[in-house]
Amino acid sequence: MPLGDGVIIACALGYMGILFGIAYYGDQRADAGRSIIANPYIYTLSLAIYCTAWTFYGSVGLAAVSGVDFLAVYLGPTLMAMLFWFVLRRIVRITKVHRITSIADFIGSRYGKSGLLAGMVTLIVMLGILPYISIQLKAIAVSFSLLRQYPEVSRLAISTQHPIWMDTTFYVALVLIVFTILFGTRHIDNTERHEGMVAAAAFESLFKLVAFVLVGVVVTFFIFDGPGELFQKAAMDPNLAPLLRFEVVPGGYGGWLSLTFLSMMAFLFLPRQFQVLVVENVNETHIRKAIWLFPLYLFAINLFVLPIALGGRLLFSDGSVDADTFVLTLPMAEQMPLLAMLAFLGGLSAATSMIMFETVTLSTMVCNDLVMPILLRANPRWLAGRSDLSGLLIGIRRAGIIILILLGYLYFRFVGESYALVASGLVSFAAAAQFAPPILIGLFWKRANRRGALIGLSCGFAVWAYTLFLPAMARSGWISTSFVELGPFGLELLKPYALFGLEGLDPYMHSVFWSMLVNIGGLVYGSLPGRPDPIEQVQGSQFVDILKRERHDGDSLLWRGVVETADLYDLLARFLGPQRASEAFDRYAADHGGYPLQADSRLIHYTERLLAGAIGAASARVMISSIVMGEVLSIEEVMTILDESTQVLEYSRRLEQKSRELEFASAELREANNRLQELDRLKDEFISTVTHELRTPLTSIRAFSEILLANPDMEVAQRSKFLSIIVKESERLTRLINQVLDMAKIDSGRIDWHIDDLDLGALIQDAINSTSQLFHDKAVALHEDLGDERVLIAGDRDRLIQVIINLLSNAVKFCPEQEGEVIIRLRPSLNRWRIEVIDNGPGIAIDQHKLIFEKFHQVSDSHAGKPKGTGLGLPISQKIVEHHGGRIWVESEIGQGAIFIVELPRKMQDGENARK
Amino acid sequence: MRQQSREYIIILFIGAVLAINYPVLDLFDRPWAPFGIPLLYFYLYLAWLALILVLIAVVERSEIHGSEELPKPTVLEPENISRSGDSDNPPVEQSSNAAR
Repeated sequence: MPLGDGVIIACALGYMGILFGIAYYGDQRADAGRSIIANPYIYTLSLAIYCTAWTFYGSVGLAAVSGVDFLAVYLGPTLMAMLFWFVLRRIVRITKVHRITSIADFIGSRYGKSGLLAGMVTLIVMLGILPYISIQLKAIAVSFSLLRQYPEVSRLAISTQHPIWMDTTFYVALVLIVFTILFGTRHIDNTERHEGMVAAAAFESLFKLVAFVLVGVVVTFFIFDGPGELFQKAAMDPNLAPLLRFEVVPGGYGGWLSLTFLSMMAFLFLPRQFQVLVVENVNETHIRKAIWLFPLYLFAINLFVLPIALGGRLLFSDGSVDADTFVLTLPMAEQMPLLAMLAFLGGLSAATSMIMFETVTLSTMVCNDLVMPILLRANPRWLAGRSDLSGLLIGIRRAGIIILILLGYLYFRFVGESYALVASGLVSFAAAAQFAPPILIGLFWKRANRRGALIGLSCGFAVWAYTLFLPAMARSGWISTSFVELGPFGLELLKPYALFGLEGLDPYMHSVFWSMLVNIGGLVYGSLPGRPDPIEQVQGSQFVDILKRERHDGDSLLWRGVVETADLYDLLARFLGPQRASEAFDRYAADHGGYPLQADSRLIHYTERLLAGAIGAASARVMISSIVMGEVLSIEEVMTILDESTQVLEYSRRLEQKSRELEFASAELREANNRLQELDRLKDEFISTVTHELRTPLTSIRAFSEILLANPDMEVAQRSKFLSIIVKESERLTRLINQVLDMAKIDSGRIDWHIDDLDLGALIQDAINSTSQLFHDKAVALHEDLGDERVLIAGDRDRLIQVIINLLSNAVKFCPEQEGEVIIRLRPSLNRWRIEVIDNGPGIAIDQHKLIFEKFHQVSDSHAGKPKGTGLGLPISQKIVEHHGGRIWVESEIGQGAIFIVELPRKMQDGENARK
Repeated sequence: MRQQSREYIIILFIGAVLAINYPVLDLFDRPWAPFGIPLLYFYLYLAWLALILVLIAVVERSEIHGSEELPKPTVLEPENISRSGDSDNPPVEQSSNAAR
C-alpha cells in the first residue's frame, strides 16, 4: 500500500488541525479563566519542547556514529532540572514581578532596563537560532520526501538543484509561517503568554514521546528479538562494537563534559525554553513536580535511541540510508506504513512545536527589543500621531515570524545542508549558552552591571561566531576552507578550531571554553570598577534579592516626576487598545479607591509594567519617561532604597524598634495625661476651696458691715465689738490671700530664698514673741526648752519664723482654754536640729497624719466647731522645711495631744547646707 | 520546599555530576554486558533512573510533609487585562489585591 502525497499531506494537515483545535480550546479556556495548562503535568510536558526534531531524528543519527554521546544532551537538562528550585524559581519570580516577556527583556531588565543589551540579546538569538530552525525545516522536508517514496527506502539528497519553487522545504516553511501566525499572534497580550500554544506543545510532546517509544518497541522487540540480541549482534560487528564503548565520543570525556554543560545552559536559555519554563509558567509550585517529571520524560524518550540506531546500522549495513532518518526508514523498510506515518507525524510534532514557539518568542523579542526601541527613538513623533499601536505591534510580530522562518529556510538551503542535524543544533546551543553568564551571575551578584554584561556578551558572541558560526559558513563553501584549516591570512594562531594554538579539543568544547572565558571574564572585568547607575543598582538588587523581598515596587520609587493620569491612559491605550487600557485603569481604581488626577509614582509604575508586558521593559521605560517630567533621582535616594543585603532586615528591625518606642511613648503619654487630669482635678478643687475659704470671712465682714450701716445709733460697745470682728476677719482674709500666694510661689518655684546664717534659738524666740499675744488671749501656758547652746543653721529667716509661728498658733488654736499647755523644744539629733512643738489638745487621728499636710485639709473636729485655719499653714510649712533639706511630721493620737516635729540639717562646716 | 530537601537535592546534584563524568564513568567503560546490555549504557540508564527515583522521593516527600511555601510576593500586580480571573494570579494573590 503506497502512501500517496495526498494521504501524507492530508494526515499532516489533519494533525496540524488537531493542534490548532487544542490551541484554540486552550485560549478559550484561558479567556474564560479556567486554564487547562495550570497543572504541573502540562507544564512538564510543555518543557519537553526541548526535544525537537533534533531529538526525534538526530539523537539516533548521533548515536549511530558517536555512541553514548547523545545522552549528554539529555543528562545536562536532567542536572539542570535538579537546580530548578534554586535557579528557575528565582527567574520565574522575577519574571512575574517585573512582567518580563522574554529572555532579552530579562537580561535588559536586569542590567538597568537596558534597551541596548536587550537588542543585542535579540540579535544574538536571531543569528544563533537560525541553524536550529533550519534543521527543523530540514527534518520535516526530508521525512516528507522519504515517506512519499514509500515503500522505497533510499538515501536522497534534498536538493538545492531544484529552484526554490520546486523545493518541498520551501512549502513546508510557508505552511509553518501560516500556522505560526495563526497560533501565536492572535492578539497583543499584556503578558505575552500563549496558553493555547502551550497546550498544543504539551500535546505534541506527548505525541512525539508515544510515537518514538512505539517505533523503539517495534524495532527492539519485533524487528529484533529484544535488546539482548540487538546488542549482541552489534558487539559482533566490528564496525558497531566501538559504539558500545566510550571511545567513539568525540572529544572524549572533555567533549562529553562540555556537551553536558552546553545542554544544561541551552535547556534554560534557548528563547523558547525560557518562554515555556518561565514566561508561560502559571504557578511557581509546578516547578517542583517538574524537577523529577521532566527527567523522567527525557529518560523515556531516550530509552530506545540506541536500539534504533544499532538496528538501523545493522539493517542498512551498506550505509545507504542516512542515520538521521532511521526512526522513519526502519518502519518503512519493514513495510509498516502506519508506524511510518506515526513516526513522520511524531517528527512533525517535534519540529513544528519548536519552530512555532521559537519564532513566536523571537518575533516578540524582535518587536519589543529591536524594532520598537528603534522606532521610539528614531521617530517618536510619528508614533505619537497614531492613536492605536496594537495593530502595529501585531504587524511587526507577524513580519518577524515570516522573516525568521524564511531566514531559517535560507540557512538550510545555503549553509545547513552539509551538516548533520546535531552539528547544527550544537551551534545554536553554544549561542544560547552565551546568556548563561549575564543571567546566572546577574541572579546572584548584585554588582554585575550593564557595562560588564555588554562587554561579556559581545565578546562571548564574537568568539562564538568566530569559532563555530564562521567555520560552518566555511564548510558550506561561503568562505574559503583555508580559513578553518590554516587560519585567517594563514595565521596559525587564529585558526577558529584551535584558537591560540589550543588543539586537541573538539570544536564545541573549544568554542565553549573560549567563549565562556571571555564572556564571564568580560562581565566581571566590566563590573568591577565604577559605580552603576541608580536604575542598575535598583534592578540588580531587586533581582538578586527577589526571594527575600516582600515589596517589589522598589523601582517605582524611581519615578518622581509629574504626569497627568489622562496622559498615562492615552499612552496605555495606544499600545493595548482603548478597551483594555480602560479595563486596566478601572481595575486600578477598584483596588486603590480611585486614581488621582496627577498620577503618583504607583500609578506610573503600574502603567509601566502593563506597557512592559506589551512592548518590553526597556521600551516601556522610554515611553513613560517621554511623558513624565523631571524624573531624575538622586544617588542618596537610591542608596537608601539600595542598602541591599541588610535593607529588608534593617527595615523590619527598625520598624519593630519604632513600634516599641511608640508603645513606650504612648504609655508615657497616657501616664502624663493621667497626671494632668489629676492636676486639673486638684486645681479645680483648690480653686473651689480657696473661693470657699475666701467667702467665709467676706460673708461675715459684709454681714457685720451691713448691720453697722443699718443701725447708725448702735451702742458703742456693740459697735466696737462688731468692728473688731470685721478687722479680724479682714486680717484672716489677708492672711489667707498671702498664704495662697505663698503656696503658689513655692509651688511654681518663683519664690526668692534669702539664705543666711541663723541662730535657731533666737529665731524661735522671735516666733514666740510674736505669738505671745495668742497665748495670752487664750490663757495657754508656753514652756520653752531651748537649751543653752547657740545653734547655727543656714536658712531663710522669714520663712522659718513663719513655720514656727504657724506651729505655735496651731498649737494654741487646738489647746483648751485655761488648761492649755504648749511646750517648745530645741534638741540636737543625729546631725540635725530638732524642734518639737507639743500641745495637749484633742490630738490627731493617725489616719490624718499625712492628710493634714495637704492643701486645705482641715481636721474636722466636732469640738472645735468651724475650722479655724486656712488649711494652708501646714502645707506651706512643709514646703519651707523641705526646701531647707529638713522634714516635718506629726506624732499624735486622739486625746493625747500632738507633737509637731521639725528637723533641720546642721550647718555644714564647709558651708554647704541647705539643699540647692 | 524544606531546607532538608534542598540540601538533599544539592547533594544529589553533586553526586550526579560526579557519577556521569570522568573518572567514575571510566570505571564502567568495560566490555562486559550484564543482561546483554553493554555496561556503559546499563550503568548510565540505571544511574539516571535511580537519580529520578531518589528525586521523586525527596521532592514528593517534602510535598507530603506540607512544607512551607515562601510567601507570595505582595506586589502591585497589574491584573491580567484580557482574562479576568486568569490563573496567572493565584487566588491568594487576588484576594490580597482585593483587600488592599
